[in-house]
This record gives sequence, C-alpha cells and structure tokens, in this order.
Amino acid sequence: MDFVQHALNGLLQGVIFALIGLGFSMVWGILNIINLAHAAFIMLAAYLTYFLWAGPGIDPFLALPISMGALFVLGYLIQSRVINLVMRATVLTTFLLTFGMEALFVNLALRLWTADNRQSKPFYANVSLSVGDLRLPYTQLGAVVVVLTLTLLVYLFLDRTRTGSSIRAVGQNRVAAALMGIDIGRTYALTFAISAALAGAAGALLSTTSGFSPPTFGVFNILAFSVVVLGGLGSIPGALIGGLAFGLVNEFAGTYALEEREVVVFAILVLVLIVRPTGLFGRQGYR
Amino acid sequence: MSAPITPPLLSIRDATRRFGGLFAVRDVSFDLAPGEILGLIGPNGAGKTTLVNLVTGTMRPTSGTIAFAGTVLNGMRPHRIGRMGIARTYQVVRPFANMSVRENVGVGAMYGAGGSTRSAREALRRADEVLELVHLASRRDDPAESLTIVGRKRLELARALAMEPRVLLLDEVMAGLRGTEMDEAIELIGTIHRLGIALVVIEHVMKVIVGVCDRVVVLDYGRKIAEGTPAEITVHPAVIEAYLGKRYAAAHARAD
Amino acid sequence: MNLAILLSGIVLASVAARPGSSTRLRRGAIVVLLLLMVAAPLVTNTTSILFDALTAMCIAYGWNVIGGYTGYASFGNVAYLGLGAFIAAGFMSRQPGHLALPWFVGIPLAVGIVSLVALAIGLAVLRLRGHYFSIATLGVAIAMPEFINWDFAFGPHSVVPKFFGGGRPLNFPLLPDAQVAGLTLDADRYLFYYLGLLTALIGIGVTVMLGRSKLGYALVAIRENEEAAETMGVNTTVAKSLAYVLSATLAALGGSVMGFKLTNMTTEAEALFSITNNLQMIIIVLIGGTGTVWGPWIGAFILFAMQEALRSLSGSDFVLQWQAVMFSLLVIVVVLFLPRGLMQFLRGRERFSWRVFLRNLVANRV
Repeated sequence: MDFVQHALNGLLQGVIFALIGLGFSMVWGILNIINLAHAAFIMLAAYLTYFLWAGPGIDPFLALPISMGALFVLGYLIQSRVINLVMRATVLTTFLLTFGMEALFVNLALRLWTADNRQSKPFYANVSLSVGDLRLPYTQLGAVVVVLTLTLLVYLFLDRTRTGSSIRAVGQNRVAAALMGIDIGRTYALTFAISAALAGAAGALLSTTSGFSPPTFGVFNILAFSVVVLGGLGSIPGALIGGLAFGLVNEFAGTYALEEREVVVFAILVLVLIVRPTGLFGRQGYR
Repeated sequence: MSAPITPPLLSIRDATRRFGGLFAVRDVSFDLAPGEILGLIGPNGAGKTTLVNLVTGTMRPTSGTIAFAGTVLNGMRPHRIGRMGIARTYQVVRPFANMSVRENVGVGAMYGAGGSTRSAREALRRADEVLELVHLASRRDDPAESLTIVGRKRLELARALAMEPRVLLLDEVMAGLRGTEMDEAIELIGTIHRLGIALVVIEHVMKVIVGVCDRVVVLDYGRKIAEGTPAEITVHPAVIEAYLGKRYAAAHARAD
Repeated sequence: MNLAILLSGIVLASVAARPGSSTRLRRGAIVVLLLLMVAAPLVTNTTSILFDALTAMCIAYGWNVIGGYTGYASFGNVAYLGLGAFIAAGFMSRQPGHLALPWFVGIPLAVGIVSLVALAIGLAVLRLRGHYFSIATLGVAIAMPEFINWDFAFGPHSVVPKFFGGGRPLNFPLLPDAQVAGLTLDADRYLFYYLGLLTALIGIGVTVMLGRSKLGYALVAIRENEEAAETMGVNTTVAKSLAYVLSATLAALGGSVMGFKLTNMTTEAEALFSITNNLQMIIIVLIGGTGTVWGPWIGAFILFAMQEALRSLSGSDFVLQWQAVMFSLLVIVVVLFLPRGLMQFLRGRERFSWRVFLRNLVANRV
C-alpha cells in the first residue's frame, strides 16, 4: 500500500478518534472529571449496534439514533445518581469510581457476551469506493459523514442555544452560573448524557469498522485523553485535529514501526504533556 | 564617625517578572542588611507576594538579579534556596493538615538550613524548642487542622523558624488578627529579630510597619515608588498618591 | 480454616494499629499475629488463598507509598507487577537461550531491573500532577503488556530473542519440596507460602521504616502542600522519584513471587496486567486506610476473607466466574461509602456506626 492510502486510512480512523475525544473533552472540561467509563460507553454501544444488526437485522447507521439515545439515558442516570455524589471529591476518588464502573461494564460484558470477536457486517461492509488507486471503505466514509454532522450539531448547540450557553457558563464559572439561576445538577447530568451519546455514536461506528471484544476498548480512554491533550481541552476544532493526528500516528506507527500502537500513543502523550501541557490549542473556555 | 558598611544579606537588582504582557514586578531594587527589619508595603496587587515568590525561587525572575550573601539565586530551585537560609510564611495559611503540630515544625527542622545533619528524631526534638518560642508547646501532638487561625499563624511562623533561616519573609502575618492577637504577633516579631534573623514584613496595617520596621520599601503596580524610614514614607507624596489617589495627594501637598 | 486465619489476622492487626491501646497490648498482638502467620501451613490444608493475600499485600504496600503517603495516585503499578513476573520468569527459565538462574537470584535481579525501569518512567511521569499523573500512569499500565509482546525487541529474531517466550509459554522450574528434620515440606503448602509471607513482611517493614524516616515526612509534606514543602527545603523531585521507585519495587517483588507460583508464563498471561489487579492494590489500601502502616494488611485480609467466605458459601464455580464483576462492584461501593478506609474508626476519629457510611456517601456532593 502506498503512502497516500495509508494517510487516508489514518484520517478515516482519526475521525472516530475525534468523536471519542469530543465527548471525553466535554465531561472533562465542564465537570472537571476524567470519565474512564467513556470507553465502556463506547463498548456498550458497539454491542448494542451489533446485536441490533445480528438479530433484527437493523442497519448500524440507521440504528445510530437508538445507540445514541440509549447511551444518553444511561449517561444521564449515571451522572445524576452516582457521579453526582463525588463531584467535590479528590482525583483518586473520581478516577476510581469511573474506573470501577468501566471494570464493571467490561467484566459484565465478558460474562454475558464472552470474549468472542464481533463485528457488524452490513451488506456494504467490505465494499469500498475506488478513487483511482485508493480505496475508501463505505463504512468509514459513513463514519466521516456522521462525525462531521455530529460535531457541527454539538458546536451549534453549545454556541447558539440557551441550554448550550448555560453548559458553557457552568464550565467556566460554576459559582457564578449558579448565582445566575442555572441548575448546576441538571447541567452536569445533561453534559454527561451528551458525552455518553457521542460515545454511543462512536461505538456504533466502530462496530462496523473492525472486530471487537470487551477488552479491546480499554485503550480508548488513553486515546481520548491523548486527543484532548493534543488538541487542547475545551476546543472543538482541537478535538478534530487531535483525532485526525492520532489516526495518522496510529496508522503509520503500525505500518512502519511497531505493531504495538499503544506504546506509541502513550509515548507521544507523555511527550506532549511534558512539553506543552495545554495542548496545541490551549484552553480559552469552551469553544 | 560612620558605622562600618556590612555587605547586604539580600540584594535585589532590577527584579522583573512578566506574565505575558503584564508586569507583576518591574525593575525593583533594594537591599536587606543582616538583622534588619524591612517593611514592604503597597496597595493590593502591587506585586509584593510575587516579589516574595521570586526570592524563594517559586517563580523565576524574567530579568534582574536576586542574590543572597553573594550567591545569585536566579534559577535555583526553591528547596535549595530554603536550605541556604531563606524562609517565608504564606498569606493564606495552610499547615500540613494531616500531621501533628510537632511534625509540621519538624519538617522545617529536617529540611531547612540545619537539617542535613539531623535525624528525624533530632529534628522533632528541635521542633519542640521552636514550639516553646511561639507558645504552641501545649498543642504539640494535636493534628494541625485542629488549630484556630491564631494557632495556625503561630505554626506557620514556627515552621519557618525551624528552618534556621537568616532571612524570613512574612507575608501579611497580621491578616485576620485583632487587638491583643496583633500585639502578640508584634512581640513574636521582636523575638525573631532578637535571634538575629533579618525580616521582610509585608503588611497593610501601618501601625505594625511604623512600630516595627527600620526601613520601608513601597511598591505600586510592580514598581518601587519609595524607600526610606517609616516616618519618611508616610509623608512621601508618591506613597500618598498610590494609596489615596492624586487629589488627596495634591491637597496634602498644598497643606504643607 | 483459612477464613478463621484471615479473620484473626484482621482482629490482631486492628489491635496493633490502634494508637489508643497500650504498647504492651499492641506488641502482644503483633507477636501473636506473627506466630499465627508462621504456623498457618500447619493448621490448614491449602495455603493458596493466604499466599494470594500476602503477595497482594506486598503490592498494596507498594502502592501505599506513592498513592497513600505521597498522594500521587498511580494507576500503573500493575505494569511493574507484571514486568517483574515476566523478567523473573525469563531469568529462571531453562529453555534454550535462557540463563536458568535459581529463584533466589532470578527474582531479586528482576526486581532490581524493574526498579531501574521505574526510575526512568518515573522521571517522565512525575513532572505531572493530579489527573495528568494518574492518566499517564494508566498509560504505562496499558502499554506495558504490549511492550512485552514487542516483536522488535523480544521476538524470535531480535535483540533479546524470546526472553519473554516469543509467543510460546515460558517454562521454569518450581520450588521443590524440602526435607527438614526428616519431614517433607510440600512446596505448594509451605515453601511458596513462606515466600509470600516474606514479601508481605518486607512490605510492612519498609513502610514502618519509611514512616519514621525523614523521607517519610517529606512525602507526607508533599501530599499535604507540595509548594510549601519545597519552600521548606524538601527536594520534591528526589523524594517523589524515590517513592515511585519504591512502590514499583514492591510491586515487582510481589508480582515476581506471584508469577513464580504459576506453572508457566505465557505471553498471554496478561491476566497479570488485568484491570482487576490494577484496582486491587488500590482498593486494598483504601479499605484499610491510605498512608498508614496497618492499612494494607487489614485491607488485604478483609478482601480475601470476603472472597473466601463467598467461596465456601456458594461453591467455587459461581464465585470464580462472577469474581471480576463482584470485585468491580466492590470498588464502587468502597469508593462511595468508605473512601477514608477503616482506619478512620481505628484511629478514634470516628465512632463506628452505619451512619458514617451514609455520611461518606454524600460528603462530596455538588
């Protein structure tokens, strides 16, 4: 395969990374919580999409609203009932709580659905669009469309709607927002729910692009974190750029250097954190 | 007959600290002689605490030189500066909450100027001596977080003293104290002075500055605007202007 | 019987841990506890679960140093646990190309190497704090099993060929049964157990020494107020690095002894790097109480006592399959209801009542 094909593969992977980073970034930026259960949300959506396809035969892309809706509800419940309890606790506590939740979901999935490899394979699964010598799998092209649409929607929501503005306000100054009458609890729950829904979309898309089993999702936490750090916390374009960058890194590392991509991702993460902790775009409120 | 000139203990030359476009401290120069009590005053935001941070190494000067007993401190890490003999107290007092009072002070004795030859046990014994000095001996085994604000300020002082400093920077020690508490604090400052430690006292309470300091340096918007004895700076036009505004300063000048 | 031993261990340790009790009582409790632990193999048929508890304890003591005393919550020590096990196995293996070192050389050597690796990694990650530090260490935990599988360094045609097995199981000899005074000491029941006990004693010993040393105070000072500690003369970089390396050393010690007892090490024995092992060391310390001497001991015994109790009540099959799920639930429960551990009761700061749990639950609400 030549360089351009690899680059293209990287970018196509990268859009999904960007989506994962976007959701992760919202919770981190607004609630100041590193949500390690994010990877578990992706996993749950992937399985939901798979079972909807394997059973009733619903096309994964058409099932997107279902995955996103289900994860939205789950996210809202989890935040309002559980995570709310530790909002003012230490890093260790919130980390452990979300990590524990991730472990719970992953282990439950292992018990209920075993470690068998799954993948949703609609009729267009192995079909690619050919442009000259380049191959663009339809599933991944679909992912690009979905991600760009969702990103635009999120941006418009945060920028143009009242609820979106109140979310941004809470992220910038919780006390002031509360004094102005914004319901903090509801805002937190809503933000978390949206983040979960975005994870849900990512999971649905991932279920088509590659095989998966419960343990394969663990790396997405580190990936999400890396994307956000690289692109800058609180920046939507940053998440896109960070995601695409990591998509490229992942692809080229795998081809030319190591199969063990996690090591590369991690090494880059540490480097970025040391050299430029605010990422490429820095934080200037949520934009 | 003039007194012999002793070299300054602390020598600050054109110290400057920028944050992006903002100058927190700008071209500030002054000396601190051994055993001297120097007041550092100025309106809020004048850069006093930043200046302290520059001296202790918590922040690096953007330009300028800070020297202690001849050695340049620029770029040195805070722990080395602490071990050389410079200690400070914090405006917002935060003891090591989950340690006892004794242990809090013990850390200073373990890691300050005299610490390298001491064992942990010896340091804790030395801490007891320091606690006597600040009248906290009775609370020595209590958890630090159980102290009232007055006790915490004494603890803050004790921690710094246990480091056996030659220079002690006190950042608004009087904040939150009233009446007799303030008098006790002034008394403690006197005790520290008699130990031969040079002091830089940052304060807003003029009674303390006038009563305690040999000399005073005044900052405003990061620059030094006046230096002299307490009597001199209380009538200095630039100082009056900084605190009370141009009109009052003009009226005051006309009244003289 | 094992359950009885574990429960007694908990009680004795609690007595030893209470600052309120008299010194004689506490010393007495320690002596009895030691006797109990030494005599354990004599009174029970299989010491497996005790071995597991003791090695887990050693690893937890390691986490206690960096997470408890220093306040830097590392989520990556499991990497050192696994690495220690794999390196020790690599040294002890008798397969072609390996050194076939005896265990008392191979294990310490492995621990030493892991310490150096931890030093290198520590210098990088310790520049970070809070969230960033925790995630970076999590990254270490995720990257390490991949590192071991790295064909470039450890594959069949590489620098250190097949050191970690190169895709096939790494075999090494186990401890043989010993002959002492005419009696045969079964290796499984006695020798491995005592090795495990040794790691636990090293763990608690190191912690005791740390608590009395200048370094120990420096670490707590860093945890409470890092900037003030530094201004007071504490070289925070050196102190944190020492703490991190020490925690990794204890993790590697526990891990390599754990690995030693496995019959072989496959490169898929990445069960050693599992989320469960990662969380286990943290939860053990949390249950007992972070930054304390007896916390990890009590926590480990409680965790394994629960496991043992569940096993005898419901039959091993069910428990084994759902163990990971139940453990994850336990993590969540402990974090919500008991974040400061049981020490808060032993230290006399709180009187025990169910209300304390409820109070912990809502203490940090928005």
